[in-house]
Amino acid sequence: MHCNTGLIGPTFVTGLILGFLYALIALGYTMVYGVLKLINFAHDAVFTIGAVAVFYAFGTWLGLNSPAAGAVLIMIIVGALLAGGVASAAGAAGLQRLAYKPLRKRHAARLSYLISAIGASFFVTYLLEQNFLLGPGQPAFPNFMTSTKAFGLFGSNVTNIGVLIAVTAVVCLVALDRIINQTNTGRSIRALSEDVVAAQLMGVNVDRVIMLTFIIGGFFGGVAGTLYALQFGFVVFNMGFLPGIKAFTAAVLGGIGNIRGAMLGGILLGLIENMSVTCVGNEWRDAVAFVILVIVLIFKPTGLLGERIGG
Amino acid sequence: MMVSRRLRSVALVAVLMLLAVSCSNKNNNSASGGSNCTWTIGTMGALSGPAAALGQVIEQGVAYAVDSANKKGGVPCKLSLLKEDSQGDPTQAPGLARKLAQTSDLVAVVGPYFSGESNASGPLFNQAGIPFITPSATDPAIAQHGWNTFFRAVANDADQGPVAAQYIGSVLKPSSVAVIDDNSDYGKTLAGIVASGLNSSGTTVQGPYHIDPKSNDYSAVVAQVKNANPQAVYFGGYYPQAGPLDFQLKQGGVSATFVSDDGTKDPAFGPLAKTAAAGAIVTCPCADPTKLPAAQAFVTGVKAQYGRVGTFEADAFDATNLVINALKKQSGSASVTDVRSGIVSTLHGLHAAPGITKTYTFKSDGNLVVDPARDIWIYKWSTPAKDFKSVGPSGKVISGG
Amino acid sequence: MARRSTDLRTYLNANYPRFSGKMPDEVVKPAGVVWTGWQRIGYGRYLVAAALMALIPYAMDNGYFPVLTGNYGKDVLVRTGIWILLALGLNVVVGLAGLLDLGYVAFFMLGAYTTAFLTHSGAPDQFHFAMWPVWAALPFAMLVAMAAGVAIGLPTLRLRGDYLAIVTLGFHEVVLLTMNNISITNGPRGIFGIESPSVHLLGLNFEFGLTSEYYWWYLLIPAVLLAVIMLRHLEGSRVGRYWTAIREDEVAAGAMGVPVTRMKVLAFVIGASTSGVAGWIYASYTGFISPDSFPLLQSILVLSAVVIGGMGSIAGSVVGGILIIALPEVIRTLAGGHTIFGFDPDTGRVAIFGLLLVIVMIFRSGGLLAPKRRRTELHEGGEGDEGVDRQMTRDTAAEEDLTKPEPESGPRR
Repeated sequence: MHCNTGLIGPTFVTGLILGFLYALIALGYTMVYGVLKLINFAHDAVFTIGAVAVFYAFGTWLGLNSPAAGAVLIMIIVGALLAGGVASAAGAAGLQRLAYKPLRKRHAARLSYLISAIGASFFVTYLLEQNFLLGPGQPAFPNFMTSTKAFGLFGSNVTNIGVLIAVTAVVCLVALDRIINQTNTGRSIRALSEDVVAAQLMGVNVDRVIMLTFIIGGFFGGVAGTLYALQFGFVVFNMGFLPGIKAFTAAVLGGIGNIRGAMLGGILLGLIENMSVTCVGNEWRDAVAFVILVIVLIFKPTGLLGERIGG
Repeated sequence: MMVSRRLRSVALVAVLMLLAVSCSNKNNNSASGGSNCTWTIGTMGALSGPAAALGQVIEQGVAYAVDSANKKGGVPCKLSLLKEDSQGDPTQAPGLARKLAQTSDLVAVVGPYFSGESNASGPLFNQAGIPFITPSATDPAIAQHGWNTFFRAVANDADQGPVAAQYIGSVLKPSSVAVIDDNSDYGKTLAGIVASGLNSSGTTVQGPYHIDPKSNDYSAVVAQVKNANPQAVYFGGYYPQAGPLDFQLKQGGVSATFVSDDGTKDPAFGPLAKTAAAGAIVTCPCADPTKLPAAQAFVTGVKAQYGRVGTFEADAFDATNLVINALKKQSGSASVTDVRSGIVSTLHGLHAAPGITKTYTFKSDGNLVVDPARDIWIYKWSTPAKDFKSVGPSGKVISGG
Repeated sequence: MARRSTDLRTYLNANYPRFSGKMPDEVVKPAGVVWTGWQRIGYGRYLVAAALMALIPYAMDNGYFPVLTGNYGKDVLVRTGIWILLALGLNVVVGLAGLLDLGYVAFFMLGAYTTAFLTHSGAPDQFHFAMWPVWAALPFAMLVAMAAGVAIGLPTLRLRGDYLAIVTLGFHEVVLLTMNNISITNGPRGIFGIESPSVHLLGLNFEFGLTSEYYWWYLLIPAVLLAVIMLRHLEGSRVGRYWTAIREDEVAAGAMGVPVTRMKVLAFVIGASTSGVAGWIYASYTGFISPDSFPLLQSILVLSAVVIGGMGSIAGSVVGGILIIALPEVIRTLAGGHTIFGFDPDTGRVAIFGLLLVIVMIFRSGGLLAPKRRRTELHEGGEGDEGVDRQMTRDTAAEEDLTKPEPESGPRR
């Protein structure tokens, strides 16, 4: 195998940015798993909902299709990220209400949740493909932030959007870590993931906490979706499918149900995928990521950091 | 309780079955002779799905030809058009080919539009004796199956690839070229031909690098390309990937000229590549009908009806007209089988038959006799026009450049 | 084992009276089918089923299926049959052994590619291991799929349900990438012209051709029925009860001496063999395979087919196969390019299917035709007035594989 050491630096930088996105998406998978022991297969649709909502609100409705600058730009960006997050949180809440809660009421088996989630994901994704919504094409994302080179690092260009992704991701990850480990809400979520009955006996409102979990996870998914669309400059109905699978892999790699694990797993997966091109062709990157996942799981069957939700 | 639940589920299944059975059979009219007979021309390709933009304009060209022929007359039977939407997916194509093949008055098929679906459905058309003429599938392999009823109304990638290599080598004159493909049958084949063409002309080829068309993030390939520091980038693939790739390359600091293929030649490339689109070059075995005197009536008509003329639309119009002209020589009372074989032999017998974009002579394997210098055109992205604008036929561009 | 299911109680009473006393009727009774009278007919019922299935192409020719007509209808029929076979095979893995396999189509793909490599196919320069007749490739399509089942099963089967899901999903992706990236498979262009089988029997010649789809249907009838017989026998056999034990409580099963890993690998291998046969049929039927024929989505769809029909239910697998293949084609034909309030039922058929999945899961979470025994497993003790959340505790928060409580000795400390 011939390895090109010159690629280590640049792919580290691009991999890190991709990894931050994976980490943000992985949070949604890992939180729901931590509380419900359920692979939220519809999280990819939640991710897409955020990006598409910003696309409609800021592009079609507000018409922010020209580059902004300065304080206005910062306001727009914060607004867009919040809007994407809120839209996805609403989507996730709706999903939990319509596709999961009825199953919970009926004491369904866990596989039923999985299939319900897959169904919900198909429904949202392919409804967006219809011509009265997005259609099959790839419409451009509102162009309020022009991607320009911010600085060079290890022979790779870091764009202003790359910086935005890194900053937002770190802020989100730290904030969530605080929420989970230091607030009452976080304590309820942790309690629920440890032992539902005990949590309930201690006065935790299970329905409310489950809803909150979906909302928090969905919010970060929406933020990630908005960043993703901003980074690549377009939205498309199935944009969530591959990042969703990758983020799920990342969550498993770090230890599903574990929030710090999701962050670590996301960043690692981004790095592994991109840095694999130093030694093998880009067409093999998913295979490399998978093989590493299997090796990790063989030695650490519950992922790198295990399954506990809190730190 | 248990019994009623089971009954309910059985009833649910039964309702679904009924859905399948309840609708009555539609059009099963047999082809009869006489003046009010009907001949159906089938067409099949991506009318929805991710590559729909490419398919829809081709279908417009076919529909326009059929409509014009019905208005003008001269064909023994009335023509109708039957569209099947494969979404460009080779796995859906065989089922749809069967659906077309069992249409009793189907005389010919214009399509399939893409290479994968042509390879997958070709055996069915060939076995049923149905002439099928593709206006846009350019994989050389389609003609290698020995199908007697296959015709290709455009130059194939074995013609297009060397032209792209020649253009890059003699007009852009780079010292090294990065070749990228989308890991699909079309992109990988074409990029391979271009790479070997560049190699043989002494240009250093970096790659080929492969992107994952399902992904939107090409940052690893961008890092590879940047590291290779080429002066030109060739991409084999379609615009949904070409646009974002060009954008990400420029963002990543690769300023090399972006060269691509007919799959990229669509106005939708622009919004995806954004500022990076300027200066992008594509080769296409499709002439620019607006520059051809013979095609002016077509251009005016299509613009009036659909607003703009798309890639391969004029070629699809030509391909359909070849079928229609062959139909004019058939008898309205002949059996469908005879009409089909009549079209096949007429098409094989064509010699420099004039169309609006080029002249048509088919080799025995169904490939077109091509003059690459005249039939393969170079286009360049024009930001003000928001579309690719023709630079000219490749022969002129390369010798003049 | 004589007439096993109906006599299980008698058998248990005779051989294991104390065990039998502990087993409630629901467990000892055979998995329910719509009409339990089948049980008494024995193997004759398979002949009846075969005869009924054999009539379908004639029913199609005579307009009993007006939407699915002619060769097109038979094409849909054959593809539905292939998917029923896939769903039956996956039912062994998911329904009986309770292993969440999200990469089942990888074995299908391997069976198809093996067929292509062992027979006359493709362009003259196409790579081949052998140039055998198509029939000779059948056992190898099975063997390769089974070997892959062992290869993926051994290192990963000690993983818990959800970890297994991502690993099998990844396995599908890796096989797909390999087929797309290596040159002997012709990469993304795929392999064309895979030969059709032919049968020469008692002076009769059946040349399977592109337009004789129903021959493949006649090939599928025994394949499907064999899979059904296999599934039913496995369910009632000792292996089947091992699987039930593993599905219910893996640690307890292991403690009672069930060879857990070996039984899990066995489930994978048996499932894979069915998939390999389906791949063989698919390759020789379409005559053309490429990586595009086996997208990741298909693995998800076939799992959906099993669950929507009902895990462990044979009739459910049939319904699942119909819903995945035939229903979209019916929708496509009925829609005929018309839209309803802008919604195009043809391009939106996956959306319709998704909605259907959610609705079925909400109203019949065990699947449309959940076997009676499985239903008692899912609902046992759950009909009382315990709080919802208390139920959730049992059903979701502390579950091991797919349907049952998780052993607390696991990785969660």
